[in-house]
Amino acid sequence: MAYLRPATIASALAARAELPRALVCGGGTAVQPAMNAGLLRPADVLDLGGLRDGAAIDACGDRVRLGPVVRVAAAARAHALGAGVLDGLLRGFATPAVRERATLTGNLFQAPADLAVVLTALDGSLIAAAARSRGERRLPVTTADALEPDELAIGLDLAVPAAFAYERLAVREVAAPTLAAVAAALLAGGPRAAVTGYRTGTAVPCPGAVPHLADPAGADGFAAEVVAAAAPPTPYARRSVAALARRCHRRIHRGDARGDADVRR
Amino acid sequence: MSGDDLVEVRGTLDGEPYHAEVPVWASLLDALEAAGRPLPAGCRGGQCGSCTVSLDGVPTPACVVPAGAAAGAVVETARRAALPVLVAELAAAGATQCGYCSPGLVVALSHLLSTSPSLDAPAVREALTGHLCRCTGYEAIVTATLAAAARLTS
Ligand SMILES: Cc1cc2nc3c(=O)[nH]c(=O)nc-3n(C[C@H](O)[C@H](O)[C@H](O)COP(=O)(O)OP(=O)(O)OC[C@H]3O[C@@H](n4cnc5c(N)ncnc54)[C@H](O)[C@@H]3O)c2cc1C
Ligand code: FES
Ligand code: FES
Repeated sequence: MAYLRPATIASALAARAELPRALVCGGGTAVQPAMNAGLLRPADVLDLGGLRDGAAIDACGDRVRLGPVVRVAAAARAHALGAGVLDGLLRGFATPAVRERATLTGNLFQAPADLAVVLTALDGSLIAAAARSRGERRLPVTTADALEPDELAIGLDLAVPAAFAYERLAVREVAAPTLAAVAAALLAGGPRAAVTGYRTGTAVPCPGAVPHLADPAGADGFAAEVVAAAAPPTPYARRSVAALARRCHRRIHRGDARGDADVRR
Repeated sequence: MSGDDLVEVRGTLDGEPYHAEVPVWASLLDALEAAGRPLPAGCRGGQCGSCTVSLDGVPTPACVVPAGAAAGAVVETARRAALPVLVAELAAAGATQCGYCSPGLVVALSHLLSTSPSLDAPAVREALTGHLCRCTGYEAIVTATLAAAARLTS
């Protein structure tokens, strides 16, 4: 039984190869409550929280690479994705203290993962690596469960948007689960949008909505495509998702689409 | 917690060295309890805030931190992290009734006052997100914190 807290990504990958069944821990805000409740009783824990080279935020042109233990609050403070982009999301995400510990990478291994819809709209990918291979491979942010047993996520690669909008539906502004969310972004490679799928609870890209997002008069078409991707089960849910999509579209075209998304009841 | 191999956690607690041996799956909250310094614990899921400590200067629910992750860290409870002016204002405003939530929220609000002394009510409410108080209705806590901020800046 071991508690391993490696100091570098290379030593974390070596530890992962040696103990592929060890419970991986980033900030611990999801796994520790599960351990407290007796839902997880790992023999070994591989804690990435002490990685000296794991919290870097590296901008490269219109993309940014985040290390595996970049915390949600730190990413927002550093304007890692551009000033204000994460603000609207963060208003409804966890609590201030949990945001200080929670990592963006760790969120993608959870269900539900509120960040997945944002990172999908930002053309994000998970970067995976293993000690046995020299290279890295990239996975869609919604496929964290496709990691090999000896792999770790060693970072995230995202586009920095020229404009971004995020809208969420929840019963309260804070400390309430997201019922539906839509994210839209204008990226150097073109517009992108994503929605939380009602059936799956995971983020779904909306390629059909892209031409409407580019069109200032395309709010209704955009909403229709987003609703089709989310497949909400009831008329109320369909209207709600359509309203979120229209708000995102409006923000993108009003020119104030930087992070000031309101949380809607 | 018996029957498991133990990990050793050493660090600083309220300015003194402490030491605990706990299972690998245990939290910092468990480690502090094993070290003879139990904190109020409500949910053990990071939601109620009652176990909040200052961990290397950042308010953190001890129940969401793996004990092993806190090895070598500086942990401060309300005993050491509380700003006296805040404690005085909370007492004057009647912002503590059963007191179960108080140690945790005093850590969080003392940190808020130390890092951003000129505050408004929305900032105090934001800092209270994740701190459940079943007794006071929060208004007295907000009023007391703003009064403490005013005293700190006057
Ligand atoms: C009070 C509270 C409120 C919360 N609110 C929200 C919320 O509003 N929205 C939301 O989406 N979540 C919420 N969460 C859940 C959680 O805080 C977040 O999902 C957080 O981002 C998880 O990050 P972490 O670093 O703490 O993950 P951890 O708990 O450390 O790990 C989570 C998962 O990711 C895996 N993992 C972590 N890093 C890696 C890596 N580099 N490689 C491979 N696997 C890895 C772990 O094995 C584990 O399966 C909340 C939690 C609490 C306690
Ligand atoms: S017991 Fe730790 S936050 Fe509730
Ligand atoms: S004073 Fe009783 S819970 Fe806050």
